[in-house]
Amino acid sequence: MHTISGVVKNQSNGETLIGANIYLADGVTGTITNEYGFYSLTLPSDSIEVTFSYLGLISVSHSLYLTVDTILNVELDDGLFIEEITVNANSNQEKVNSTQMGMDEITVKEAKEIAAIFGEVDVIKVLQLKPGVQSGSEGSSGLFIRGGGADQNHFILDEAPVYNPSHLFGFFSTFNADAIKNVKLYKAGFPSEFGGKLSSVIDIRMREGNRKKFNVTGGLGLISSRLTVEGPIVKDKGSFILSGRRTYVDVFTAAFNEGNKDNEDWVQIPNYSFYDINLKANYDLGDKDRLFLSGYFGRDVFLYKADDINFNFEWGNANATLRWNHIVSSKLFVNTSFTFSDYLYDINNTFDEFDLRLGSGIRDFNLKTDFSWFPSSKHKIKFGLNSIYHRFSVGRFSAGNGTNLNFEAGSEFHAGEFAAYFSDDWAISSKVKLLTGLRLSGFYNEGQFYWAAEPRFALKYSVHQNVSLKANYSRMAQYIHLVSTSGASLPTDVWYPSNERVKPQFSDLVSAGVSIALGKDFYISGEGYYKWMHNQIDFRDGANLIVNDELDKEFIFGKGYSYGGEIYLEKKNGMIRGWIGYTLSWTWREFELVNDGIPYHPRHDRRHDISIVVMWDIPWARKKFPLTLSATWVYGTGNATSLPTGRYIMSGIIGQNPYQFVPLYTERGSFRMPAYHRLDLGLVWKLFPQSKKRFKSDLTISVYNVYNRRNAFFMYIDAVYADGGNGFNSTQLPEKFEAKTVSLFPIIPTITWNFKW
Amino acid sequence: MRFLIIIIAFLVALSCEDMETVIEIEMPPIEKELVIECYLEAGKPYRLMLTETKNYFDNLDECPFVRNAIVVITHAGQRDTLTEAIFFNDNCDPNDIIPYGFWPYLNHDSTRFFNYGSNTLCPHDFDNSFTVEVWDTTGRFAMSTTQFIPESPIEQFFSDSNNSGEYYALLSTMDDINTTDFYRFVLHKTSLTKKRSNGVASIPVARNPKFDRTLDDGGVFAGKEVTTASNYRFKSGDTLIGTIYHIDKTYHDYLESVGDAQSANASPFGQPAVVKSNIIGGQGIFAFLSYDRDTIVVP
Repeated sequence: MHTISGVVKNQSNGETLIGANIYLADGVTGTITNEYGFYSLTLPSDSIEVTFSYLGLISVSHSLYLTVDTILNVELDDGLFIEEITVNANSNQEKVNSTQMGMDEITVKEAKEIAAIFGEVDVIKVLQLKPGVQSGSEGSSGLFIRGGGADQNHFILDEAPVYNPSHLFGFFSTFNADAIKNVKLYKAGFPSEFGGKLSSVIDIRMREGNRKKFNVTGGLGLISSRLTVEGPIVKDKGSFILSGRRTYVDVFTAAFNEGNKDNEDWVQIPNYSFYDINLKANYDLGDKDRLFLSGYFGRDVFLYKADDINFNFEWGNANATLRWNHIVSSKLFVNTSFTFSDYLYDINNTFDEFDLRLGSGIRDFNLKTDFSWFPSSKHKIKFGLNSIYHRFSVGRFSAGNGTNLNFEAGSEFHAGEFAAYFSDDWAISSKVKLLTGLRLSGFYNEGQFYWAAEPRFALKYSVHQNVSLKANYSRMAQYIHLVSTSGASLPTDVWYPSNERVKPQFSDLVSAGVSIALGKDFYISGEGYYKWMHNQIDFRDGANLIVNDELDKEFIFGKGYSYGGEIYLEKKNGMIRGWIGYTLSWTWREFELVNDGIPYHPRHDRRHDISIVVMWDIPWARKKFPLTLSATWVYGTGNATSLPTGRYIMSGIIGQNPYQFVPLYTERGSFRMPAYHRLDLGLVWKLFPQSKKRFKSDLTISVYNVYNRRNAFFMYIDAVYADGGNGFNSTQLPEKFEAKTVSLFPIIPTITWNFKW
Repeated sequence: MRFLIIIIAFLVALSCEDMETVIEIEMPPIEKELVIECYLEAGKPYRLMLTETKNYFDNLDECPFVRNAIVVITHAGQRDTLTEAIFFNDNCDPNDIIPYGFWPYLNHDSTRFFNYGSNTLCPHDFDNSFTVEVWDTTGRFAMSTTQFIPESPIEQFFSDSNNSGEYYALLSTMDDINTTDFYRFVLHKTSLTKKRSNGVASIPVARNPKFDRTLDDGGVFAGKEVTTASNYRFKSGDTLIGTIYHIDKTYHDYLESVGDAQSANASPFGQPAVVKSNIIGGQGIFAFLSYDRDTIVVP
């Protein structure tokens, strides 16, 4: 037996390719590249023809007689000047052959072809179009995966956890598509190297930068602009990429405010902006060693100044990763990473001479090492260690006027999280593969130590070369918890560690399904799942979550469970591409102190969820100006919500409005908002893509919510008064009550100009 | 080009539409419960408002008051039956010349009104609890018990100015480190009632407190001075009335949960809150009001 190994790269920019296929002529024996473009395939001595392929790139085949261990590094051409790109069939084959299930992968190329709200390409919103993934509410980039909460998703950017992956109160994700190479979402079958959150892993890899030549790319959009600079540090030895993005709505609002500063009737418009910067550099220290340094810094800034009020609210993430890839041998690859993650929010409010400051945050230092060992063609073994130091700042609060009125509160916790893992993906026969894995995790805080054994199993049985049956089981543990009563991810939500009172959360997920490859074009999968979630956290009614040194006394504990099925049809190749996903699911929460202990549906419970995504390269468009049209239609059962079913009048001791009503909520989550559906259209118009000139550009036109549906953001009951007022401090009775929905986004057309030089 | 402008204008017009939509929903009927709202004050007569819960979409003209009920307050073995206010008719019409057609019991310093009352003065008794019991003609029964707790004296009540000549007011009391305490701080300006310009009828200003906050002695206040302050909003010569109610946990929880329930309805991020009532078999609150009140004139 001998091993063929190496790294697969994109010839045009020298970047490594994640998930490139390496297959022999039989179409069955093969592997894929890992997150660093490395592959290893151990085969008997023989004459072989090995084909390297990657979606959208031209496949390359090599014939050789394998008599010794062989290093074969391959570069695949993007075929920019070739009219027809040979597409590969192996990506579907790999999905069928793999033990992995419950995984979705998207490329930025796909994301850029799909219409986006305000033209902001958002890889997370594309994930929301996959089955089993729900957005929390209209426009939100929050993810609710197979019944899990928004805080149960493990966002990793180049291996560094990102604790608040959104801008603008959740409407945009923090991930700038220009700096992203690849996104993988695991919603089941979690690899053993991942842990720490219950419901999903979103593994986001940044681009490495062009190793061949310098490039400048950018775009001008409706609300933001982007600019990316990349190039070789030393040609074919190392590269860098620097990418920035900033919104400019605040520039206009500041100008409006300035222009109206003498207008007494003018109500100041708050200034809001966000920006983020991605930086990455890499360098080959030799044939077997490669060093990476990557970083992210992003901030949202909300400013309001009027009369005596000066309100400044800032929040954001900072991440850094230092990685060392080392090829120990053709069969052993090791990656060692040191990462830094920081999330904080900070509110500074000055009113007259009172100052109020409120903030919270989490900071991590994380050291991990991961080994990939390919002892034979039948085994892929992974093992590694991980150690994290967490620092939690919870509810830092100070207020006062500097003289006789001053308060301070807040807590700080220092905790450690540890893990060791092992997994073996074993090809028992040509039909059966079994993945067994175990992750041992632990957590230490305030003298309390918790540990958990998290087994992972996955079984694949090939009924046919193109059809396989799969099943898996995963246990996940989560030691840190998001303090949020909103049901959505807000910047003011606080991460809180497990301690003596707050036990770790656990989930057990079983799923089973079928994968079918229909030729080189179509892939179909169907999965059913049941997930149990233990030690789920909610908060007692009326909990004080802002200034509270004993925050954990406000926690209540319960359980959750979710079950359902997903069907997915995908076509990645050809002139018409896209996918259709359908999810049928039920999600429940059960807390002794909520809803009288009766199970209820949380807000993100959604019975039916349909996504249809189509991308079409218009065949009759002129070659100088090729057009790609995309259409996205989504449908979802309305969110579960709670409404008061009864009311009574209350006078109060200070004689408030005598017609003030106290609403009575009887059952949690017993109402449904109207069904959600929306059509988005996008058009990417490339301008002279085949020109030999270096400068290239395109226009992207998108229309969000084409038929202008008023999708409900939330629902409430309103009192209608004869005088049209709101009844506050009124001594009149309302005429009637009526249920109303509030929508956020009507039809929104956007045009974005993108360029590359 | 003109076509493009028309399209853009149309899309902008659509974008500026009202984003609220009235929808039809079906509400399951609730079981209608008695609602007791009764605050005891030492030296003041017993007063109680007795209503019932309604379905949220019930006709608002439907009478909320519970008629002909037996209402009894018991203290130290003494049962005092409250008398229903005088109803002139059975229409219970809020638009009647006399709203709801009855002459309510009123308290002296605000707009509070009641439909059951007694001339018995509430005793100043630390040792014995008070119990309210209500039977109505449909067989419903509700009851509750409360206890007198001593007032918490005002420690500081003053105003101070900034450079602009505007004043804030500070109100505080000392917390007892040996007990778990709850407070309600209220600040009024000028008076609890004032005369209309015609000098005849009084209009309430008590319903417009400058602040009305519930606080507990957890966190920053444990065993220390419990303090709250207004913004810089007063001028020299203003009369300020500060009141600190020393309240029990049930009343504190009731106030907090009512506030949460009211704000949850209108907030996209609010969680529905169950009103925490201390009425067994019904809704509402039965609480003892112990308070210290002071008046200052902004210098």
